[in-house]
Amino acid sequence: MHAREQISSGQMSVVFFCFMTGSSIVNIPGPLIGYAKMGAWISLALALSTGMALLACVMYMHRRYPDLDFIEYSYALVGKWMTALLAIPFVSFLFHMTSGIVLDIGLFMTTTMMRQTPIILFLFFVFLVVALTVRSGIETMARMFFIPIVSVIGSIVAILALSYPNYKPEHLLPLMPDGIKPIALGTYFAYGFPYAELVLIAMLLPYVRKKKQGHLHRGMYLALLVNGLFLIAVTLSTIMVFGPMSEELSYSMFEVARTVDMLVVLQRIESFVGISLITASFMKASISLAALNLAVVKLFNLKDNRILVFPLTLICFLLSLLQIENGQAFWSNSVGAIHPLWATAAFVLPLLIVATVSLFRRTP
Amino acid sequence: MAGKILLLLIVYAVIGLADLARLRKLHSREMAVYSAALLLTVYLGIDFAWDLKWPFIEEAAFSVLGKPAEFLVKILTVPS
Repeated sequence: MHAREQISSGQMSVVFFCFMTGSSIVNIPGPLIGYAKMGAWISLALALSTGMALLACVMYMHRRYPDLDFIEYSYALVGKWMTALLAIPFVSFLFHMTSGIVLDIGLFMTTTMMRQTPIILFLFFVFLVVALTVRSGIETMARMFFIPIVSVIGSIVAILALSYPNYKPEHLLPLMPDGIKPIALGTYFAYGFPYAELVLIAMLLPYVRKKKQGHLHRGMYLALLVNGLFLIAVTLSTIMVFGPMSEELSYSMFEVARTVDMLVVLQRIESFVGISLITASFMKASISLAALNLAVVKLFNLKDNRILVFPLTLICFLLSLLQIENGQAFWSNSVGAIHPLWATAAFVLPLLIVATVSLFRRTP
Repeated sequence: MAGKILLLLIVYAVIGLADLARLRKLHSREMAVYSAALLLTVYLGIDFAWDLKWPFIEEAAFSVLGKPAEFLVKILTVPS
């Protein structure tokens, strides 16, 4: 991404929405219902509020330093060595995220639709396309993501609407049979994936054209709110269709789509969910790899900001393969239990440290 | 194992071809960072090809955050 690349505030809002919705719309509901039971939508609402607070922090820092990304204003505020210290968990988590997003695509395909195909094939080709996308630059990414995300949202809305005959509202009760603990556990999970991850967008905000900054704040909050509402809608849909069985499902939207059977013609539409997951995860992985590339480039103050794309992609590809060789239980534990704490240590705490220092500095 | 090594060699060759034009214009700092990234891929590649289970960031995260995460999940889980 060249320094002169610029996108509008609307495009940045779309990129942000793609990143937040990404793989979460298919991956989140099942495990979340497993943690929070019928109160999963409450956990999502609580996690969304923490996301709003984090976004407020990110936008405050962007308002103070509109031309600088997270690494650059860290350098300015806390110095070189502290930034390097904060960057270690930051960059490590970006590696984990990027490899994990693509790994989820592979796991989805080998679990549901193409069980005999080796996972390495999915990982290889998705990483190849992601690397080429990131090499083409943020402007190209921002322009190309609009239509795919509209088609993803359209597919999800269509499936939610077509599943209407299968909805049983009585499945939503009882709401909190085991008290507040399952809600808290669900909030912990949903906070880690996807809301704590939004701090990454601080690496891309400087690309917003200065003249078009006016609507940026409104657009970003709207994107986050719409993302939250979609996740809640998908979770409620899953609970109303499957009831107590929901917690056993890994890819709940896929299973909801499989129940659609209308007028004989409208059936077997779960492939649309497969397409949606791959498209949305590809966009999220591209944004994540772009942020990772930028973080490393800015950390080492490199002039060529595209030279590291392929080596970093290869690292993420190998990491995906090594993660799944540890077994799916290890990976599930990594995402469910450790991911939120890791996101806090890698993204949230560094942001809070830098924002706190900024509060005490009078001039940027 | 042979298949994995062949895959890695093909990937390295493709990356080398794709980056060749840019590599010629790199300054020393950029070359150093690029080499470090490639060394990391060699480490992971050897781990992948020979299934050595060498430590990397996931294991580091587990060792640092594993116990606190387990504790948090345990106190928030209602016994069934």
